[in-house]
Amino acid sequence: MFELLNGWLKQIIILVLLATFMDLLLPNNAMDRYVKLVMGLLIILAILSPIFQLIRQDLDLTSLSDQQLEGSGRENLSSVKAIKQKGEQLTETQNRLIHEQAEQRMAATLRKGVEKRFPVEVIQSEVKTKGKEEARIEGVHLVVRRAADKGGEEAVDPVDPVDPVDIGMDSESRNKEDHQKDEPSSEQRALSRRIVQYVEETWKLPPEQIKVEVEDG
Amino acid sequence: MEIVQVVGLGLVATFLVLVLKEQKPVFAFLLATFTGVIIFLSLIGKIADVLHVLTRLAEQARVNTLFLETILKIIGIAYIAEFGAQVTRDAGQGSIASKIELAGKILIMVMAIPIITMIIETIVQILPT
Repeated sequence: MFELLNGWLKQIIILVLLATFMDLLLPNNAMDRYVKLVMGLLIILAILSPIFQLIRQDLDLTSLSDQQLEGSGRENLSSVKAIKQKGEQLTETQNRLIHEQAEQRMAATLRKGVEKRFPVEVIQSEVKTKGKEEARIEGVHLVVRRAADKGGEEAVDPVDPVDPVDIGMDSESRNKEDHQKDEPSSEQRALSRRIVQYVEETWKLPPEQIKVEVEDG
Repeated sequence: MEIVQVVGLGLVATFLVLVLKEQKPVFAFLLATFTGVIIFLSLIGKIADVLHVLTRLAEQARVNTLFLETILKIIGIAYIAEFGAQVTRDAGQGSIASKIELAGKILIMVMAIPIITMIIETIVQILPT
């Protein structure tokens, strides 16, 4: 800063000295006014030269913003804080949205795969993830109903006759209760086990993270 | 050349011109011009010294070379134009002398044009649009 001022002042002083010297040197009055005009312009240029530098280097914007920061410091600082907070919030929501989206996608692919592989209708499929940067699957929850009319009738057909066999084994009232809450007898359990196995193999998950519920069609 | 020599040369030339003017006015005029040129040339060495000093000073102070160049050119134009104008005026051609002066003035103003444009552009840029 001081060097800049120093050079600027030196330049102006030397120019003024030169101008006066030239004024003395000049011949008679004919050229006097013109030469004086040009010298005045030169001195004005020398005085303005720092502004030229400012404009040429496009420093004016940064210096202006610095001045603003210095001038009304507190408000701007708080606003900067607020902006940072907002940015963090935004990134959080963004991450959350990404996770949700990923969960939905995974659930949809799971549903498709299961429906393709097994003769069932997936009522509900949920995939839960965990972790911020690298999300990992925390658990898979599937609710499945045996499809009545769809293509997988081969599997459905043999299931039907099994129920009466179960009913026949126990007393009917008990069996009804069983039907209502925990019907999964051998067939359903087998189906759910197969689905679990399938999910385990395709998604490379430990079996305790996979929950499959089979509802009665 | 020292000042005594210059003055002596000038005096001798003046006498010779006064003598010649009776016989051949044209040669008198030629002699006057020649004397002027000789004096001018004899001063060139000193002028060069002065200009060297000025240039060195300006370089040390890091004055923009554009400024110095313009100043020196203005000095040169002014001197040469003045010299020519005086010679022609001595010969009795006042109109040609004024034309030479006009040319000198216009050339000096032309030197000023880039400076004026620079200043005006700066002012326009500074002003809020």
